[in-house]
Amino acid sequence: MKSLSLILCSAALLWSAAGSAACWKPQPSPKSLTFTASQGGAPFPGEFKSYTAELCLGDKDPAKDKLQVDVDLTSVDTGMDEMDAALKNDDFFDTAKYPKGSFVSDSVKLVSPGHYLVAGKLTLKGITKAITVPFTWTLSKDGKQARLDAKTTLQRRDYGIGKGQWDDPQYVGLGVDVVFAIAFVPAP
Amino acid sequence: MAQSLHWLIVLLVLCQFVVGIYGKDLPVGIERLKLLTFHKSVGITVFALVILRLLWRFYTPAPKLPPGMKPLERFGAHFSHVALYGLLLVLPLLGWLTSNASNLTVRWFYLFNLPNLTGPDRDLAKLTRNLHDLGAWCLLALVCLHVFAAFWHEFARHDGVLRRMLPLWMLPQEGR
Repeated sequence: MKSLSLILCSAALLWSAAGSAACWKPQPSPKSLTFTASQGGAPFPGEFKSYTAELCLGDKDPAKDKLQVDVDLTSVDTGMDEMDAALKNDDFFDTAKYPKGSFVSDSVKLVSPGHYLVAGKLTLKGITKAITVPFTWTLSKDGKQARLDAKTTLQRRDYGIGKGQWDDPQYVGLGVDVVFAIAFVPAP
Repeated sequence: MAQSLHWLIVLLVLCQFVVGIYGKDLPVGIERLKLLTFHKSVGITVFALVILRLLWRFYTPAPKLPPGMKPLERFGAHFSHVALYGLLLVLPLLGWLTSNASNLTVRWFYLFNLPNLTGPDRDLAKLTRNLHDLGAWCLLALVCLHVFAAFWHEFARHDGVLRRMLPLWMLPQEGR
């Protein structure tokens, strides 16, 4: 009898996890935060290997929806060690002073089924700007897995990234495309 | 045509040595970006010109080697020319691979991007960079040998091999 109630209890918990509780945690794979800048007009891609994401989405009360992403800027990987080191110095991210970048949502709006628009604040190098990013949310049939795909273009000068000798947009493009692709499972 | 291409390639390769040696150990920065973009663009240009030169040579074969050269000298002449052409084609390719393996796309004089031959790969980048360096020193050695041989033909053999590669204005009147 005891074990039966335990099973029932855990079944109820699972049910609530899949149903009403609308928070999600990232899965190890796929989990990517990549960017494409440009150097001398040629694409210059890279990624951040380490970041955390918290997401609550699909709650009956949309005010409870939220997305927060914290990026470890020291985990930048461009495939070239010298370049990674240069990106960490104060002309770019200045990771000694600002090791983290973060995005915190203010609101998440459902645009059409599976398509959302998240408005929030992005902080990089101590500078906070309001940005709006569209994303798609693809839920598996059983609702136990979902995938978030977002893409936006940031202006590096807004955050003081690429200063000094790097400022000239002829050599370092101003727009940086950022692509976020991540799988989630319901958070316990 | 063969002469013009020869001297144009000489000029560009000279640039490559100067810019390459100076630029490769610069710290990451705009100066290095500019110089290496130039180095890569010139390298790709050399690659294309050498292909053109070889096509030209295929349709209009070079004059025969002068008579009186010993078999070993003939072999040396042929081998060094094959090696020169080979290195002039392989060096740009190694540079191109090094860029791509370092996650950089090669852009020709800020005008258009070349396709990537490979994806980012740190080990490959290290390997191709070392081979590019090694190849460049081999090329320099071969160029020295080539110049030495040209003078040897002119001043020891007097067989006109050097003269036929010189532009007209450089030849003494009676040589025209």
